Amino acid sequence: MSIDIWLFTAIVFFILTICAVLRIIPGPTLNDRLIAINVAVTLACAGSLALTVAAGSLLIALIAGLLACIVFAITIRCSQTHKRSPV
Amino acid sequence: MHSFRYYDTMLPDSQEVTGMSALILDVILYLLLLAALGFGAISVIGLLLFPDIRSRSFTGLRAGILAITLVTVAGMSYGIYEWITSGSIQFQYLLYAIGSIMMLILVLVLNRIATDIVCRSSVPVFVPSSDEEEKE
Repeated sequence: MSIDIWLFTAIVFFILTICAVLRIIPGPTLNDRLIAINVAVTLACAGSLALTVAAGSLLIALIAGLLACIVFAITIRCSQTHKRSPV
Repeated sequence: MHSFRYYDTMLPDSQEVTGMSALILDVILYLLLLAALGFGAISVIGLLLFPDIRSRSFTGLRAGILAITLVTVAGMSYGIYEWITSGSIQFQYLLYAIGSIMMLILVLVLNRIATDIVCRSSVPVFVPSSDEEEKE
């Protein structure tokens, strides 16, 4: 029995991503949640790169890159909006 | 499930490459990917354990970027090696190597910008005025 190291890496990265996503819930502030989202997206991108080789499809990396762009843009926008709003 | 690794995407005339170079590549890939997993775990542990937002963002950013960099280096090595050994006619390996570099740059730049903005908005940096400096 051989282990596909790429698939194993992808699975572990997605488990770590779930852990980072679970960190979003306790917060307590918006910035804590945004940091957790950044880490989760970074780990998900690493997992998608490994999954691309394991599954043999370049479409996975393309979709992951587009989703990462969208999520980072939302994060930056949320952070700037939160910065401008009076405390 | 099919994989680049199992050579079922190769053209009929191409030969499967085995031997010492493939073994060395496998060892390098294992080491790089296991190191990437380690840095990913450090990133999440730092995110869960550290108390303030700056230390959490620092650990999450640095360790996460190191993890994705190691995965990218492994993917690049694999893609370029397979592209060369398949006779430079299977461009999916080259595309994968280029795409992984582009994703690394994208994540690196956007993550850096987003984390910087979040940190500055959460803990404003105090810059002493010239009067206060003169008093000291």
